[in-house]
Amino acid sequence: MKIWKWGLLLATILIVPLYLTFTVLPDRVYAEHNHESHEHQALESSPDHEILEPRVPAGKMAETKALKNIVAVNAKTLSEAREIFTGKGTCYTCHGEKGKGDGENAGSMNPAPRDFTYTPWQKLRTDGEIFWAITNGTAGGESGMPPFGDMLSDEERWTLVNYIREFGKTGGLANNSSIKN
Amino acid sequence: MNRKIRFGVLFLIGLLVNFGISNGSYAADEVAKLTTAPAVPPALNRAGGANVTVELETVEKKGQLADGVEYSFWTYGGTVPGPFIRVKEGDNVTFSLKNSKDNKNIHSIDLHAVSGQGGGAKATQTTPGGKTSFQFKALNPGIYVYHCASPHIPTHIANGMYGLILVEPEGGLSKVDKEFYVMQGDYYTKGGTGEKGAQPFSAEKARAEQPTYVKFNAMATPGNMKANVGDTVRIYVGNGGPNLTSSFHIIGEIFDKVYPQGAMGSEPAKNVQTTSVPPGGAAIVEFKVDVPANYILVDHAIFRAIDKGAVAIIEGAGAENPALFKPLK
Repeated sequence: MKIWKWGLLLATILIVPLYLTFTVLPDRVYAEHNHESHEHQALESSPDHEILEPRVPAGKMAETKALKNIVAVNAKTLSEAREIFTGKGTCYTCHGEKGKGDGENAGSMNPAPRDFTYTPWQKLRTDGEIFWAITNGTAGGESGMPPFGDMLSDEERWTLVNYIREFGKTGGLANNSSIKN
Repeated sequence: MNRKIRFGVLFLIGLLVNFGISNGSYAADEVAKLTTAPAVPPALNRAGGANVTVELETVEKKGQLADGVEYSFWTYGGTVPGPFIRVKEGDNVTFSLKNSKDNKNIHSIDLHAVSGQGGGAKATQTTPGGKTSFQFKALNPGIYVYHCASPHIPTHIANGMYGLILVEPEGGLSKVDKEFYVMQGDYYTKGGTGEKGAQPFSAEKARAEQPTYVKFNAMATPGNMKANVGDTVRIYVGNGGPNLTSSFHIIGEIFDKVYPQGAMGSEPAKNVQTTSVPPGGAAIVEFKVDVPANYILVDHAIFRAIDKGAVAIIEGAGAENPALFKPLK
């Protein structure tokens, strides 16, 4: 191989990684970091910092956020969800029938039960994160919420996620008494 | 000839099997007999290693903490303390927990007699209307507390979810004339002590460990326990707590023997006036009824007895014995 060809090959090998290092990749990394840091900044600056703190461990966050809800939102599934929320799921005993975190056992719980009507939390947390919390519980399931992974099916937990979402909507179906058990 | 020998061998095997059964060494399948305090199931006249089935149901139920003071108890079997469970060392226990469909809360059970995850708590988190089960081998003889272990655990215990399980040692316990089941618990109501009406649970007072009531057998069979002069009495004393350590004492009696902490394999302490029973712990006390009297069981942290209800009575009936005790006029 001629010397100039060796030079061209060497230049290609060196230049491409250098180009990627200083141009394309930093933008991507920055974009991801920026997204995380925006969330982080929003959290840090919020007076409700502790309330908005994620329940999902950092190492599980990516896979949890990627989870997709398998249950459609409609009057039938929301009605079924209400039955679980106020029945065998026992959710209302802590979160209250209107999802405000004021159920009759709320005073005993630590951390306090989530107020689902709090819209900053609704905006910040994904369906997957809510599903994770229902599945695994919070605070080790001892002083906080118990894990429901063995007590409710995947479908039941996803339908509860939909129901919880309704609490964050003005006039949401979860607050609508027309949904009957 | 061979046929006769075969027949003889089979006959001998049959005899040995029957002898084994009648001798009480056969590991039978049985459903545990449960009792409501202060009653205790009868001694197990058999060897360990049986396959025993135990089933409890959790029931949320209204009851009275004091005259006119209504309280919403959370219970095992509709009583506080929950039913007394009696098994034997080496038994293989299949335990099932039903959660009444009328309940509002998830319930579970952690039996201190169990070696395994959460004493069974993880396997028995049960939604209203549901049923869960697990199996365990009763490895260590002793008297053990069981309690609910569903969040918020202290609240479930404070509302009455506890009881005792006895794992008899392989050789059984010494024979006594009477056995009783007594369990202390502290209660926390929004209203003050004696305030009438429906009284909700106060998480604030519970966290501050300032009970409004301290009770023995808060929601069990009413009436006094009864014994006769000459009887040897054994009491299984448990403490559900959730907060207070009991200074268990019987006014007018001395414990001939105490197994502190329910340490059954250990030598008992003798001639004891008062014994400590911590929350989540139990002890066994034994004494002989020497003279007739109303023997008054108290937590000798005495405000709890006189002002908050920690009192129970064993009626000791029979002939006076002036050589041992007599009032002087």
